[in-house]
Amino acid sequence: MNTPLPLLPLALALWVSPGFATPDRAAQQAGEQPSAMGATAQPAPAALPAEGDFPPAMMQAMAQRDAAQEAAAQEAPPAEEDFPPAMMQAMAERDAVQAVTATAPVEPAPQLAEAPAGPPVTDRAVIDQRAQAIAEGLRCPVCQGLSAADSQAESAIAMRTRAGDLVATGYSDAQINSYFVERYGEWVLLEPPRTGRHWLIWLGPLVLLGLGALVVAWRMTAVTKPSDAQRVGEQDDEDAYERRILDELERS
Amino acid sequence: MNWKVLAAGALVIVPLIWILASGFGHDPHAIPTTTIGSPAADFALTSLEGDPVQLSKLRGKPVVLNFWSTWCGPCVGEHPLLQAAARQHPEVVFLGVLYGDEPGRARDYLKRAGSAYPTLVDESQRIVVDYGVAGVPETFFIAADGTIVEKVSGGLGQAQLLAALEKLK
Amino acid sequence: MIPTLGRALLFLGLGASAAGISAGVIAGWRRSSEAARWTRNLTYVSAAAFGLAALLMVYALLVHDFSVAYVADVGSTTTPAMISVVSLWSSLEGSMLFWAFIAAAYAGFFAWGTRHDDPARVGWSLAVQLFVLLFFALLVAGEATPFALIDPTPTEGPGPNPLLQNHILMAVHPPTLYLGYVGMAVPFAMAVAALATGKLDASWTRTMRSWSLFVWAFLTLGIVLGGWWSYEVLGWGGYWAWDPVENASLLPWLTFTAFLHSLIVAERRGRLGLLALVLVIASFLLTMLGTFMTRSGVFNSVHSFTQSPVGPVFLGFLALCLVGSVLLLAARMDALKIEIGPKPRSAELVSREAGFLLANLVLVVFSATVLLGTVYPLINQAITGEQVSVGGPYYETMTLPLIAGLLALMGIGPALPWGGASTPVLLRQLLPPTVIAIAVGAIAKVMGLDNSWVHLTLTLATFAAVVSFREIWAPIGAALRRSGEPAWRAPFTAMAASPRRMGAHIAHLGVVVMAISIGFSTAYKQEAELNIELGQSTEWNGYTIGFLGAERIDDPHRTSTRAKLAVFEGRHDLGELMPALNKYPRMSQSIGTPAVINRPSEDLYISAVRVASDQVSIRAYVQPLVSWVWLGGILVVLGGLVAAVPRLRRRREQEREA
Repeated sequence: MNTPLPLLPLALALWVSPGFATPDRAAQQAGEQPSAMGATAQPAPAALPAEGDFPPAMMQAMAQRDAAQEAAAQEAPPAEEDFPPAMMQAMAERDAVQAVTATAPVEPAPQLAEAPAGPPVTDRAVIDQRAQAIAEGLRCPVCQGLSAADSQAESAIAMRTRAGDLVATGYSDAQINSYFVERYGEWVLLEPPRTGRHWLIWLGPLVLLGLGALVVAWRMTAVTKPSDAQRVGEQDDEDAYERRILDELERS
Repeated sequence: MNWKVLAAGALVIVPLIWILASGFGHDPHAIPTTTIGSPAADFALTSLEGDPVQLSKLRGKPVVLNFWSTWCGPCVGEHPLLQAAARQHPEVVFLGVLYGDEPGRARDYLKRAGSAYPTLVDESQRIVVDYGVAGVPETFFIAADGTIVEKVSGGLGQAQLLAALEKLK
Repeated sequence: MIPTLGRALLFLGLGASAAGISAGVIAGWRRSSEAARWTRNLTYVSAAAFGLAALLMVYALLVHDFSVAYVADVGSTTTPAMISVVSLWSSLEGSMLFWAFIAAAYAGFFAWGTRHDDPARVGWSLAVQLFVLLFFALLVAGEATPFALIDPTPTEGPGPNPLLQNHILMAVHPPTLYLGYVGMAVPFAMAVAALATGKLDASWTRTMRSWSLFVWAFLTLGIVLGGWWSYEVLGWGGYWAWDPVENASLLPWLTFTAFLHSLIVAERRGRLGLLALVLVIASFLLTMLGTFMTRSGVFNSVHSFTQSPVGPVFLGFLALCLVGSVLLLAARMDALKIEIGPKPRSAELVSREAGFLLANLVLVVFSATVLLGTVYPLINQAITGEQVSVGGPYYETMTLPLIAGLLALMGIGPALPWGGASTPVLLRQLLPPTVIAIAVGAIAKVMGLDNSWVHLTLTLATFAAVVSFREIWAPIGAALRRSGEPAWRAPFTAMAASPRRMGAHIAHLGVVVMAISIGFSTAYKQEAELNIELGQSTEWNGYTIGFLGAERIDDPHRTSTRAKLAVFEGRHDLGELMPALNKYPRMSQSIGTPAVINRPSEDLYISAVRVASDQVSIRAYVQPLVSWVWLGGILVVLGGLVAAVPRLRRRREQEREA
């Protein structure tokens, strides 16, 4: 029982440090990151050591550790006072972490509070197109003035992905837009909603155009009678003018 | 003196100047916050270590949700504060969410900087939109009943953090 | 040494401007040629002072004299020489010095050009120009002066804003824009002089027109180059974002275009003279508003400088200009005698005059809409306290119909005779272009054009183009018919004979080209995000893009990570593209420089998102016809410059009469 004891702290340290814990799962997580555009997967980050990399001495040590663990499992665990304080700290943190993480199976979180307006959409092209159109009407929260469709900021990418998810679930464009407004506020829409409150900006130009057209019509007709108008026909005066100029050029 | 022109001019100038003047004192780049007071959106994500975490299962405990990334200066700055707070308040669940970064880089960083609580990874970044996150760092303080009671955008200061934690009680 | 000298020059310019204002007012009030002479000389002194000050600052930037505050803010020993020069306008204080320099130079040229003109008018105009100059000069010479002394002298500086260092257009866009923007003060001053003296005659109008065309051409060029620069540098594939600062340059452009058109009617038919004055005054006021929008920090924009105490000062000056202009108009418009063209002639509802009037209306409503959209977030916040955004979608919805209207009027207007026309004449003028336009539209539809806005734009643009071609051809045909005229010389003779007509229609053709290419490039834009591994290629949209490797270039002022991409279209080798991510010491995140292949039919535009040695992640865009936007813009500018050419015959006539 004495032989594995010096190895035990080593084993525990190795076990606690996350990078070494589950190389397979880490590589799996890193390797599979489907991007919203359906492009190819990214390769794993700087490679974590796989079993074949270890020198024989390490392999032996690990085998011994495994054996020791099995044996130790049947023994009373070492008393807390035996471990150095740093180890205690690490163990306490590990416990806290474990307390948080649920071990019960996870149900997928629901989408939105209300039900989708329509059936789920499965056509990838339609989803992309609708998501793009919605993103073009949303403002990227980070960059000034760019739409969520044009911006490459993380938030914008997240918004595009989210819009795509919601379209796929069957939500309508109106529902998706109000979802974004609930989370970010009315300013996330790239144009003010066409409700009564914003009449000034939506009707103002039309009113101005209408009034202006009336003024133009009034100015053109009220002051003159048709007989007063001096028609000139097909640019008579301009052609005469030009002829005169060309004549003068000729003289020079 | 053409009074009609004068009147028309005044009608245009006075509101225009008033509106432009009202803009002073407001920061046009500031992003308004809407999520305070609303229920925190549920999520089911996996941590960097591979453990699943679901928010609805944490009902009954106050939660601090911190969005961060390794490339963000203020995130790195507030990291020690959050670690210390997590250790001092074991009754509060601290969770990090990785924003626009690679898990490998996050793990390397946490190995160096220390990690007192799990950091969650959301590949689809859906949680980012669910919480109305515009950038990092942003920290949400969720009460035991699941309502967001405080949201801090930008790096956390000590006083801010303490005040927010008070609200959780 | 430099800070002291610089401040001395600024104070000299300030003093000369202030004195010049008094002299100018006296010249105007008392119609004194002596006072006018004084005003001119003081203007020259002021122009020299500010010119030298600007040159001094450029020198300081080149030699990296960090004892000068502005150089300490934006200079750096690692910045290349060309960029050091260009950083004169990269930040607030320097850009104000640049502004003062251009305003003073314009005033100097104006003083020299009008040295034989009526002293009262010249006095008033110079007084107004110097008054505007004085405002900017006070800002430049005052507290936040770029020539402040920094003691102890730092040994290094942070360098200018990285985004401004990426492209040659940074050197060209701000000066051309300033030449247009700042120059608006000149026709404005002339309008004020006309109101003050109570007389607007043909010779003053001619001078005003020449200046205006020059200024307008540069403003157009500045706006087009701004879009081009944004496209080549920013990496999001677009060129106009309806950003408040972009809108600030568009607002005066629209009203100034309306002004130029009303001048034509005033000179030909004796009408719209007062409208022309109102429009040029409005254009200047919009430039002051635009300056406020850019520099006050009140508006949400990528271009804007941060909020500073300068904001309220600008608002005060803007208010002063607004109130002064309205008072002047109200007090003097009824007494104004306009003697520009023949006696005012009336016209029918369907006539070229009506066409001009409608076009002016649409341009003014266009400007008002853009202004409303830009200011609305402020209005909403002031009233409700909530924030709302007004972006691209709003502007597109509201301005597309207006643009369609303008295209239609561009065709109908020149086709209508002055005064009115009988039905047979109308049919003869309008039928051929209409038929051709509808035919082109139908062909396009058959060939697969499905976007209705683009279709409408194409049809209306063709209509306007046919009319413009006809108008350009008329004098050329007349020249060709002359005996002894060689065919190659006919276009030049025609241009010399009627430069304004030729210039106008060249500009209209430019607008047509821009409208069609903007329509196609926005409606048929395609984009995708592609990940390519080292040594592999991917196919998209007919292009094959291969990743050859990443390259890292360490410059003193930045580190560039470039992705080398081989691009093929089918089997045709298009060469190598190198989109880059640039890291500057001043910023924590990298700034991307896209790589673009510009071709007449479409552009392939690639932006790097992530560059690693084994893999690259890019964003690729294909935009049809986008290069024609810039070419069309340049055509518009050329049209303006052609129209600005003074008619030689007229000058010689004047000299003969004198």
